[in-house]
Amino acid sequence: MKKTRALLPLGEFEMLVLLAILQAGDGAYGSAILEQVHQRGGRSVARGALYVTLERLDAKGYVASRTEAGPPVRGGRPRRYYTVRPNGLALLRRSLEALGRMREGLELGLKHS
Amino acid sequence: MTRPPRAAAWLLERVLPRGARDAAIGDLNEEFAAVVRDAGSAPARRWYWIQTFSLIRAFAAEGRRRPAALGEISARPGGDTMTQDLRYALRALRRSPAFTLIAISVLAIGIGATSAIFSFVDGVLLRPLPYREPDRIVFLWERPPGGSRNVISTLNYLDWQQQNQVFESISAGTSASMTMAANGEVSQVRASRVSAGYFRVYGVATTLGRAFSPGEDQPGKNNVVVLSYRFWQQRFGGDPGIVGRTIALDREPCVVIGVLPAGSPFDRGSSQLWRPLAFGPGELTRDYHWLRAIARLKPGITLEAARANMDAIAARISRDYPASNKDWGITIDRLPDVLVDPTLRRSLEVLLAGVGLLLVLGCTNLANLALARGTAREREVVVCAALGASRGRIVRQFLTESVLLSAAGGALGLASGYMMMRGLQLLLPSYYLPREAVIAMDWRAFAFAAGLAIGTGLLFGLAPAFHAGRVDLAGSMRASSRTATADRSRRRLRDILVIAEIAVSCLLLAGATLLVRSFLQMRGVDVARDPDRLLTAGLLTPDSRFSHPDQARAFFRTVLERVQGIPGVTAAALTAGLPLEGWPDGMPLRFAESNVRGGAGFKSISPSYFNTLGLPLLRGRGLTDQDRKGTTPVIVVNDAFAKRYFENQDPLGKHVLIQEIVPGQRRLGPEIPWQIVGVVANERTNGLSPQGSRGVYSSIEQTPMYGLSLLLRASGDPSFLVAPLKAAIHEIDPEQPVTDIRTVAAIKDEFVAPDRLRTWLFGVFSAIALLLAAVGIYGVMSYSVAQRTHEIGVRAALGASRGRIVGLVIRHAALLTGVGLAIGMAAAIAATRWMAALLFGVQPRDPVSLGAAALLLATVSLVAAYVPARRAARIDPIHALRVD
Repeated sequence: MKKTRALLPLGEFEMLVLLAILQAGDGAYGSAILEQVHQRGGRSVARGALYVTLERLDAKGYVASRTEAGPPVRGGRPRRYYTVRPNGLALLRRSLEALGRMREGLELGLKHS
Repeated sequence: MTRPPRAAAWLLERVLPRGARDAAIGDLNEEFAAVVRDAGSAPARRWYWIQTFSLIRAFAAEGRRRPAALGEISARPGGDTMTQDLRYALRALRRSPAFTLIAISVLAIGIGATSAIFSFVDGVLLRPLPYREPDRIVFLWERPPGGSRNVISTLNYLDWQQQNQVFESISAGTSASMTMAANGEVSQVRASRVSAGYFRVYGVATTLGRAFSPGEDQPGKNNVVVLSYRFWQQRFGGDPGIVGRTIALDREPCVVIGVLPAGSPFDRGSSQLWRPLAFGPGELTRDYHWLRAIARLKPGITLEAARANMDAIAARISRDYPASNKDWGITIDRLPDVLVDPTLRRSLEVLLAGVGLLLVLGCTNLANLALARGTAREREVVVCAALGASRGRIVRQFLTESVLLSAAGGALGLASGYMMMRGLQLLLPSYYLPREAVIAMDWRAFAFAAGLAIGTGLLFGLAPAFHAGRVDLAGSMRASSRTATADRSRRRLRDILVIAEIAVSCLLLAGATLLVRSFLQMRGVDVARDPDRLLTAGLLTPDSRFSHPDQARAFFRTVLERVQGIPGVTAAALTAGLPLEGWPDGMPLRFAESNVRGGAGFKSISPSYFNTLGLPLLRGRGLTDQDRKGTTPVIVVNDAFAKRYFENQDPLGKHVLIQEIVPGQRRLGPEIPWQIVGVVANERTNGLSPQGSRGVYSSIEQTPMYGLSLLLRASGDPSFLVAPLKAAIHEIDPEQPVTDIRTVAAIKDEFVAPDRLRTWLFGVFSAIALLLAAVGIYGVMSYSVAQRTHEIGVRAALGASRGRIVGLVIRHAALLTGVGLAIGMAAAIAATRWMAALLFGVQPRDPVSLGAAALLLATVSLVAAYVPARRAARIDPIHALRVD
């Protein structure tokens, strides 16, 4: 099959999730990532959408995960921490750059709209 | 600490894919703790549920987005969930709607019929009795010399009541028809007169008011009455103020003191109301047996202890009153042991076995069908296996499909079973089941149907499932030719299934032919000559109606005269008991010449009875109008009586000493020397058997009775006589009720109704069985012919005639049928003995019935095989050889 280079290789929500993982830093497990999207994205996201997206990103190899034991309130279920893998980072960067180029020269117009 | 909702956690556990599951649930739990802290536990639980659904929805949508194929099964070895199994099974079933439809209908009918029969078995045999500690309730009988159970005389009962040390309470009772005047209406009601302890023996309390108090069964205090709930609803519209109201029973005012609970056995029994049984002075006798007694054992008293105590009392009575009680004992039966008539018990067992066999047969057929379908799905299974699905995984997938089918069949079966149950209830005569039996489709029937559904799913799913698990990968991947090995094992499995089907059908068919033959024998029995021309009617009269027997004599003489004058009546008679309704009285007797003692049934009739009924006189003369009060007392005995007591002698002219029956009173008169003047053929009094039970007939002029039945022979359609009959009776006495107007044929119909129903049910079961067996044979033969097209083509090319090819196929079918029949017949011979109690005039190993069953089955299976055999014979060798 012929490979095409998409202008935006990541979906909007995937970009949001990757950025939230980066923002959460070392403590990027499910709840923390959700919290980042909430606070910084200023948007309430469905929990299911986040976990499905994390699974998908993992399956595509854009993020890596490791599990560690969490506090007892979790009922013995480990926390799963995510980090963005280099290829995920590269795609994110490309997407953001594409957005940036599209935005060039439009700051004022956007600001007042 | 508040915990997350357990059901939500359980759901997540099942639905989320394993990789995401632990972390997602852990996160949820962790956040849940925070939400509890901030918002409280109830909102937190609500929040948890919302999050749960968000996760489930998202993952479900994600699952759908991916291409779903059989490969999916293998793609996640070990990581599969039940939902996945189900989803795939649903898809597979949707792809073959014909198979799905057939399977679900077969299962719905099978499970439905089995559940319907089960509801009767459960209601009659399995459910605990609706009384408090029913094991302590006993029935008491007198045991006459040479007999086992007899109704009880008043004074004997009173002695039992006073002298026993083993019963907590004891009660005597008798049923009666009473006239009730209430709400300005006069009607005939079915009543019981019972001792005050009656309801205490059963441990049943009233729902309204109270039951009888001790002492209310004394004369003068007994003007109270307890109603059944149903009667209260029907006749008094459930009037809440009923307690305290006065109604007139047989013209005596009685105060209603209580109403029994709704849905209790008393709603289903024959009595509608109960009055205390107070003995009048004329009823205090020891030789007139008329009462039934029940009692409740004291706690800790065993049946043996009770028997010992009562035996001692009986011995004492026998010693003190030898004239009436010499050699009489007492019989005690536990209520649970005698409640269900053995024939009814056996009927239910046989029907349940029959319907169970039918269900097994249905499953076998479905297994066969599923195996055939397995052939078509072989490629699919192979792909699946090649992609890495384990054998266990494939077996599980197939089983999920069959259990899913049977679950659907079970749900529909429950609905169809409910309808069948209601239908059967309508067809059964009301007296047939004990009043304690509750027939319902409740959780018990539901659990039974669910168990059946799962069981049948596994039963018919196993064979194809394991077969699918054993698919020969290398062989089947070669697309063009089928390998012999894989086919041979499947063919053997299908052969075995067909043999099983034939064996099971054979068993059912053998049972059905026996029942049908037995029923035909019953139908062939003539209770009377032209029984559908014989109209009967009851002339109920309360004991208080006549103050002297002569009044009764005169009244009934007038009745007979009037009725004989109705146009269209060719003969008319009066009798104390109609055919198949038993002997009205059973009397001890003694022979004057030999002093031999014995007993016999006793029936008062008008002299015209034998002629009206069509009962031939064998010897001597019948009764005549000259046999009246004051002339020599004479009786006609039946054939059974003559054979029993006068084996080689002439009974005519001999004298039998039987005590006088005093009408309207609970006592016997002095012994009367009855002279035997004739012998009449056995009337069908207690059953259809020609042996009959011994009995004697006396004229109503010499033995007057107060309650008699009328028997009219019509020259044409007897229904035209109903109105003139009622008019004639009401002309004589406008208050005389005329009840139960029906023909003798109708009496017999009702008598054999349970047998007819049982025979019909079994006949239907076996007809379905026959059809299933035929379908099974046909399927296997068609498949085999299709598989052997090539081989048959070669044979045809080499010159085999059509006849030989047909023979080839038929031989195979005949072999399967033969083996199946041999197994089925062996099973039938072993099992039908168990049905002996249900058969009339047919031996359980009746060769005609068994032979007919075998012949029918063999014919049907060979016809079913002939169609594919013809197809084989028409195979064109050129075409067949080109296929490969």
